[in-house]
Amino acid sequence: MDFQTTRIIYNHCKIVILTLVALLSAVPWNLFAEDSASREYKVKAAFLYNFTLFVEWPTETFPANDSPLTICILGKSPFGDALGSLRGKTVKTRKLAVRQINSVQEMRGCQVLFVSASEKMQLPNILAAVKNLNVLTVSDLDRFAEAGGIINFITLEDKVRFEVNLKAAQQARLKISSQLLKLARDVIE
Amino acid sequence: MITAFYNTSLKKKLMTIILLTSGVVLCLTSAAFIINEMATFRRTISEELLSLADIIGNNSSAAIMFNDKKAAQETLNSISANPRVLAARIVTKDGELFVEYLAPGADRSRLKIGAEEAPAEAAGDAGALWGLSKEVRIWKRIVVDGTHIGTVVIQPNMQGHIKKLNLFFAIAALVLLAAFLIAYFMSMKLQSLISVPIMRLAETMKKVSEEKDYSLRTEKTSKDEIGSLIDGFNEMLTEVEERDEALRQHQDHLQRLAHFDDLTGLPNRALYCDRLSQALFQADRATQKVAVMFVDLDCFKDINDTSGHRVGDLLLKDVAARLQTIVRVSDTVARMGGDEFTILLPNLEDPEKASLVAQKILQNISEVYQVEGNDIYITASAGITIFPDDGKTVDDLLKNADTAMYHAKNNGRNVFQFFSREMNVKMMNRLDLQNNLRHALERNEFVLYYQPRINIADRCITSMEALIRWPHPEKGMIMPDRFIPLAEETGLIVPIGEWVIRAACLQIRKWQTQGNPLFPVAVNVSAYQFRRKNFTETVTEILEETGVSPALLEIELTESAIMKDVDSVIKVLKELNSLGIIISIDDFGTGYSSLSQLKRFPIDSLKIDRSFIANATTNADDRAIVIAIISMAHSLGLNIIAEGVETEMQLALLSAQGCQEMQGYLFSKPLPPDLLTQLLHDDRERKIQKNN
Repeated sequence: MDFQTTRIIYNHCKIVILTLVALLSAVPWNLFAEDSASREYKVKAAFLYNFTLFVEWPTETFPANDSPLTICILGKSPFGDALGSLRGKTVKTRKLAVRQINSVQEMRGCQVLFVSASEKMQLPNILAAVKNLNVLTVSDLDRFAEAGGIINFITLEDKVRFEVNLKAAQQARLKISSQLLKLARDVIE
Repeated sequence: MITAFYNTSLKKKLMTIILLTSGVVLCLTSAAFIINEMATFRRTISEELLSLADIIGNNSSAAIMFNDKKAAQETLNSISANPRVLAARIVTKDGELFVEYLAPGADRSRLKIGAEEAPAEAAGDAGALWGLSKEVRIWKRIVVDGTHIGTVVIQPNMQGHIKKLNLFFAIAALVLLAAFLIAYFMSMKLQSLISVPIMRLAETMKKVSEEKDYSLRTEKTSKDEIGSLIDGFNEMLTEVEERDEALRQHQDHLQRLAHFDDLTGLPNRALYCDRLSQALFQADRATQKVAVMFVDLDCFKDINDTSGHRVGDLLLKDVAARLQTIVRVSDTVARMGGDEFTILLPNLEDPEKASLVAQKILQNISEVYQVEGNDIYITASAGITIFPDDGKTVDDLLKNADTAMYHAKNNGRNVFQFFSREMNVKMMNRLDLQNNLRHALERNEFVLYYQPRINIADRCITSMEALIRWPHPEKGMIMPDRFIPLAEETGLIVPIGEWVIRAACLQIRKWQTQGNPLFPVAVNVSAYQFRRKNFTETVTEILEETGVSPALLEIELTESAIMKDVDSVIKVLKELNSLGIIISIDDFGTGYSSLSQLKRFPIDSLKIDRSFIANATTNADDRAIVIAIISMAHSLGLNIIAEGVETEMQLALLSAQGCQEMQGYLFSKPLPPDLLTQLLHDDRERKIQKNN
């Protein structure tokens, strides 16, 4: 048997196995089919993590080289157990940490701040409080970006998308990857 | 196939070799060129597309992570707009198709890349190594922060590559064809450098072997191995030519040898017989006569012995030359071997003519020869036989001529003899006797008789002579004069002579043991026996063997036996003499003794031949000879014995002349040993009486 034949057989086997795997784990990519709220926040939880990969914080943000990158959920968390999937993940060399906070005063050490819908009324205060901190603010509140938040989840055609307020990010001295910007439905300058 | 190749012409072989070699080289070169080109192209495209996949991966990683197919599609479309890309896909890490790009004209059904493609390697290519397959793929994993999020798979557009390859193949084929054609024409021209001289050589060789013409040569055109091959071939032909010539000469020589005698140049026996049979055939038809003549030189052996074979050979040549001058052109002189010549006289009107020729020949041969400054005399004896009177076949005629010649020799030599029927009878008897003689020795048929010799003064025995007798069981007593010449001819004389000496010695010994008075016993020794190299040793041996004193043995040699080759005779006689053996000369007066030589011989006695004694009382001449011999013997101090004394008158004459001893019938004939023993007793008694 020559190299090519081996290769062909190998590929064929792979195709068969992958097809079987795909059939067995066939899960429709439908966000709102079963438990729409939980599914939506599963995606958003993943997005939260993804954002950390495309954003650069100034070095002084972290107290130490091995300090974790902390995602803080402010207010009543809509994620349920979706955030559990982020546990144990790392961002570059840092460990990822998730923390639940109830007031903006507790957000010391947070690099990502998710503002829950429960804090809608406190939004101006919250934004004002983090204005000069190197914190990536994320929320799915309407017009969050326009209000001065950095990333705003939106839902388009049943898909989770986002808007980016570049000015706010620059104010927070965060560098957002052009790739991320390219994906943003709207970029506010 | 291979056998067929082996059997094709040299020209075709050379061309095949050249073309095969150049073809293989060209094909290999082209193949290497194409393979290298393909590998380069493959590597280039692989590298290019890998970097393209890298760019796609980098630019679409966020889109994948945020599940933004639209953005990913845009990125893929923009980057994949490269003529080298036939199709491109992004596959999620789970192997699901994320986005796909298809170049215009790409047949999706034939594209094999897709969701199933999720290789474990970070990057690589797959598919037919040399790029002829449409299934070639290049993939690159998309990794963000160490996490594999998907894979970029690109199928290159091989159309250009295949076109290029096809072009290469076409060019290679054309170049190959052109090169092959050039090689063909060049080889056709160049091979002739080798094949033409070889073919020319082969042609010459064929011609030589067909026409057997060894004078042909091949022209040499070059100084290489072929040149030396041609040189070698030509040299070989020269050699063959020379050998041919040598062989021809050799054959001529053999022809000569087969038919001619080497020494004299005369025809040999074979050719003679051939001519004779032809002559007989013609003579038979023409009712003519043919004479066959044998000529044999007398005592030629003596010339060989005394003057050497060289002189003998020269003499034979002279004889041959003389013979040829005598005969007619139509006659044939041949040498049969040794000193024997044969002459064929065909178309003979009268047998008498043959005797004229024979006379002429004998006379001519007996004239003096000058050989190496020496005068040599020789005679010949001839035998003649006539066809058809004496015989009708070649064999018969030759045999008859030989018989006639033999008779001529017996008749005193230097004569010729015609064949007669009686000769044949005699010859048969002779042959018969010869055979018997041989057996006689083996069967011990011979006996010795003894004849006493008497002292004339007191008539007492002084000594005795042993004489051989052959009591033949059928033919009765045969006397020595009949069988001794035969024995001499056949060489039997040597063992017979030896037997005589031994028998005599044994008899002496016997008498000795019987207590009889002892007297010397004389034995006759033939010249032939005497001249044998080891004669003295033989005698010594016999004496030692029998224990007989040499003083009791007397050797008698004829006068003619000692007068040839005197020096060596004297030498042997001296040896015998020193042993104490008595030596006497028999038949004295009949030979041609040189009296001056006689004194040189160490001899004891002379025996006067019986022919002188027989006539001494009647013939004055003979009496004078007898008296002369006796007086000469006296003056030389030799004992003298008279042989064949039969009458008292003879005895009285001898006594008066002072001859002391005699032998003859007057006193006693030869007696067998037992009778002689009786005589010895009588003799002793007489002596005793006398003394009393």
